[in-house]
Amino acid sequence: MRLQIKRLLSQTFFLILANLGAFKIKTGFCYPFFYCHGCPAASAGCPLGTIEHAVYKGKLDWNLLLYPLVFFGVIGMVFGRAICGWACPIGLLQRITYPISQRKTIKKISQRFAPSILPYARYIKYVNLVLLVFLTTYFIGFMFTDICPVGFLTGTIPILILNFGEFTPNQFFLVALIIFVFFIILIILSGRGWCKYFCPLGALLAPFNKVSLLHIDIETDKCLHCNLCSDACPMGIDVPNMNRSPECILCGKCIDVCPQKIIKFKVGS
Amino acid sequence: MKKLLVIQIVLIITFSSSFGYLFFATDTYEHVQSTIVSVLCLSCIKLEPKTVLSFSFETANNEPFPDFVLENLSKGVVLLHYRTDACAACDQMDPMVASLFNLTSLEENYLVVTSRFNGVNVTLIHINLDHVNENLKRSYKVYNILGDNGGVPMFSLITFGYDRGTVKPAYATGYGFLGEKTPMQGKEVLKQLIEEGVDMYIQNHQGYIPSHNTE
Repeated sequence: MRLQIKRLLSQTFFLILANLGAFKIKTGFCYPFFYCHGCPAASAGCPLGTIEHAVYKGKLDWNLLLYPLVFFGVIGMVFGRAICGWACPIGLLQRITYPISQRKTIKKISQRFAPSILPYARYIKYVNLVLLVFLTTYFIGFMFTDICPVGFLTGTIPILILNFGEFTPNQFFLVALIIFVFFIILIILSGRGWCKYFCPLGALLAPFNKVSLLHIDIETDKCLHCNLCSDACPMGIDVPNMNRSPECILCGKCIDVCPQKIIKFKVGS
Repeated sequence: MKKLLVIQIVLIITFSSSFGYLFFATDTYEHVQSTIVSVLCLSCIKLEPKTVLSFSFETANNEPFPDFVLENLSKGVVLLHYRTDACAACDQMDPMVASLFNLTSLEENYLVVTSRFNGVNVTLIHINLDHVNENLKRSYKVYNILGDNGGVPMFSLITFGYDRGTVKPAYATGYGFLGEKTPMQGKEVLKQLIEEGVDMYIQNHQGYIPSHNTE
């Protein structure tokens, strides 16, 4: 079976798993990816929401704080950011929007409006994680939760559809709606734009790529420098020189296109 | 290569054992399950449930009224006020509830305080679902009329009502700012609800026969 079909099956499987709450299966686990526990069918807790609960307004519940963090530690040590490429439902959504972002007209628009600082924009996700998830919640109160576009997509919209007329918007609704619209524009204009620039969970998993058991291995001495791998990479990585890049989501597209078949998944050090 | 292998082994053991400890030796799993996953996070969905504050006799999950509620109901009207630790709307409504009962704050995880409204005792039972026993946690489901679509802060006023020739405990449940735009407006709605509950109590409590509530 082709790698990308296996990946699609895996993403579909995890999407179903994330929504087992529809069958009254509500666990005490945290999702290993981005999904909102406000979703009517949620089966686990949002890791970011759990972290926010743990540090809310200066209170430090160490058990609750460490629970998602060490869970991500285990997952990250084994799979690295493969979770983003193989399990995350938001990754699946961006997989769907990726072909749109690759159309010539869309590419033209995105190139025209792309700021010159774009290569550095990937650091925004680390700022999001530290500032919006930890520090703002610790010193002020919820921030990320109130404006989270993933919460809007997987929580707000399904609840509004399933319970038409039974809810009213709160004071953050309009801001969250605007951010959600930007989120949609982002993932249409830039393939994997959310993962690359803004996802705080991607930021949490990214460092594990440096030490994870599963990683991409390239026999660089046999490389033809055809650049097909880098062109195929949805994360915009210079694949032959990536050396366990924190940005790699192990989607395997570079493996598929390599004419020399010198790019492989490898387990171990 | 060997250095990386050592780092991998050390980190995997550290993370796995820490997760194993948190999972098996602490109540973190239950905590996440019973509050974060099971109680709808209204901040996450940027919405507030619209509820009409009307009194009913049948509980939300068809369980009987909890004993601690009936015990307090024998002395007057009961206002149950539920919250969780991390809840922005609860933080905004807490001072409103506190001022109605002449309190400076509601920082305790569980608080029972009685105040007089129009000559009738009204007992406020403030419950932080993250820190109370199972019995109190269960009571949330008894009055949570919206089920999975309910959330915190949740208010339930329990009084006596007249139902087809019988006086029974009756309750009304509301959420968030009780359908209003601001906490201050929510406080006014809550005050009106308490007053309505007090009037119903005055009218009905003498006709209450406890055995009628054993269903």
